[in-house]
Amino acid sequence: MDLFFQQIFNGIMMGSTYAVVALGLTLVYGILHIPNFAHGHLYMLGAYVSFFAITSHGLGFWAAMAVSVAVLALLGIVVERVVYRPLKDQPHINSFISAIGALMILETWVIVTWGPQAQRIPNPYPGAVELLGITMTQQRLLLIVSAMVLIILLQIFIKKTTPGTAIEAVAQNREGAMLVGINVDRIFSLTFAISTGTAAIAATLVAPIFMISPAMGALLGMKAFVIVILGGLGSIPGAIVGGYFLGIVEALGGGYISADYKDVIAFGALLLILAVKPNGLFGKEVA
Amino acid sequence: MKRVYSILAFLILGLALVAAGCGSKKDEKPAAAGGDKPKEVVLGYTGPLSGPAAEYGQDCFNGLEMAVNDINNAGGFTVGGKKHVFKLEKLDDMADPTNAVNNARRFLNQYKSKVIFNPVFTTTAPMMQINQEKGNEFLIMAYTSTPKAVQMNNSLVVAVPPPFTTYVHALADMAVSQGWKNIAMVVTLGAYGDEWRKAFKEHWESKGGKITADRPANYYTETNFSTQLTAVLATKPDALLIGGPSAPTGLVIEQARGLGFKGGFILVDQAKMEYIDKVVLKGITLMENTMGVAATTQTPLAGSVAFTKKYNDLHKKVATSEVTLNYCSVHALARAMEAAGTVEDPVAIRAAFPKAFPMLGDKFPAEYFGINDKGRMMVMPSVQLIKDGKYSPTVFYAYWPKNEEEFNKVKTETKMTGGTIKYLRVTE
Repeated sequence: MDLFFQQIFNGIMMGSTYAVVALGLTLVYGILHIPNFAHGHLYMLGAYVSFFAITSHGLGFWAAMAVSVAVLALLGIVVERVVYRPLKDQPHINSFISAIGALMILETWVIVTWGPQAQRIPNPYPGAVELLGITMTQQRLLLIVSAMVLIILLQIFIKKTTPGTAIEAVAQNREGAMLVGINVDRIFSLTFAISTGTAAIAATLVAPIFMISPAMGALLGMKAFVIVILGGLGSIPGAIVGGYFLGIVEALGGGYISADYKDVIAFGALLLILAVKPNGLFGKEVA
Repeated sequence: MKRVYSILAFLILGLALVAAGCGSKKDEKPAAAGGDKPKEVVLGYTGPLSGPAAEYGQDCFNGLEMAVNDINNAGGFTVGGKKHVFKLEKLDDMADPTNAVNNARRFLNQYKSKVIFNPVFTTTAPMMQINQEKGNEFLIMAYTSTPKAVQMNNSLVVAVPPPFTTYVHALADMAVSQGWKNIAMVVTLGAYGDEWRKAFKEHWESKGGKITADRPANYYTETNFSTQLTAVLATKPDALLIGGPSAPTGLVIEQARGLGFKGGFILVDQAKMEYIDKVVLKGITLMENTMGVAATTQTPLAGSVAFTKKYNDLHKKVATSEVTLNYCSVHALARAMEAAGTVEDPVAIRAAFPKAFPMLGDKFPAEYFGINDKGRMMVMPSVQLIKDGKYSPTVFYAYWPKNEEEFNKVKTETKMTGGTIKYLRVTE
């Protein structure tokens, strides 16, 4: 039974990262109706900014995370302005191509700057903790708790504050929001900043546990898409549930069946759920 | 105005090109005597230069590059009375078989290379399918310890490191001396890892040990090994057999300790303890009771001491055996080309390889005593154990001598100044 809970814990840890990254993706989709294919790569860049702040400027872990969030939020605004806004009224395929261009630029830039090899951020909390028969490192626990806090704060922001409700209003009906005087362009920028900023937090939290490499964003970006589709495009609870679901399915499938089939199991589950519920778990029925 | 700018831009570009041209000319050393420009021999290198195994691929390349520079700076090598120098070209294959084969074809057609270096068996194997095509032959310098590399009846392969079966035997002996019985395996996926697991399992069980679990992981794409580790640690092993490229192997150690594992680690030969110690984990506190390939910086050879220092000055990195052995392989190739009297004919170059040896430790960072019929260059594997926060003295294993007499010949030939040499016959 210990083994089972340990695997669940592993799954929740990966799921925390997935959930936070997918949340950013789904927010952007809900508002702009574009799938931000560069999201995984912005996440990767978040890890590299933290890495740079820690190794080159001797910043502490939390300070580096703050820098990373600031840089990435700013970059998110820039990406939205340069890559997506000019194509707002164009067919969707144009933003796809633009996004692929953006992700290639980001990945190549990181390779040129920091090299293709994997890098490490020193682990700020390496100690081990034992809880109910499960052994975990402090950093992993920190990742799980921080992700939960972040998700709750984001919920409060969207439901209880004026800019948050404005985001929700734009997501529900863009024209309606414009009619009541919401500056939609500003909401676009804000949403992108939140989306990339939270990705930077997730990346910084997970970086000391694993390694960072220019390729780390591609797979995660793809998984985030899977989660967002699984949960229902644009649905916030869907992204959260989907993130943890994928993490746990991967851990259990990898632990009890075979690690070789980890991705087969995860993506197989996706196909199955979509076959039964084509709009995703929390997707709205399309009339 | 626009036109002026574009002309100016062209001018600057032109100047830059001229300057670059001058710069590269300066690097070329004049040929020793003849005054003729030495002939350039292009060597190809395909390996993982991006992705999680990039560091490994780059280390191998660095070793080759240093050898090429050393040989060229010393005036090159003489074939048929004419001076030759090497030119090394690299292409990234991300350890992917299809990419590697495409790269090999590019080297053949575009660069006219006759010798291609590759450090991952998963990519060497498909290249071995095409390197004997009539008219398109090329020699593969394979940095792989997989015995299969020399068992496939390919007469145009030279294997550079010792076969890993020698490490299987050496490390199993060491593990027995530690009193370990139950071992669980989390080794890298792919042809190399599969062979390792199979060989270790067979040997370990024949020695009366037990393999409690076997959960391979993809060290080239994964960084999270908790799932596999959790599963194997539940079987309460005394030690874990782990490894693939060094960087992810370090993560496996850290993650296993993070899950509360207090036992030992046996590293497959691709993973390097000293790299994990100095670069990945920054210390050996987590590595107590870890055994694996010995640290090159502690190799008791004059050539090795000088080399590792030079390498560290140049790259600010640890020279692992990927670096030192690949370095030696280029020297062996140059000697074989000299002996063969050709740089064009891979068959003749391969046939002349035995004449390249011995290469001993007074001049080289590792000692090569010969090449066997199958194409394996003979170098002694060496292992070490981390115990009580220290590296134990290096133990070398001469695996090829057929009898004590041949073993004694190795002992008299070597330039080793410390450590122990043991005789442990292992056939591939």
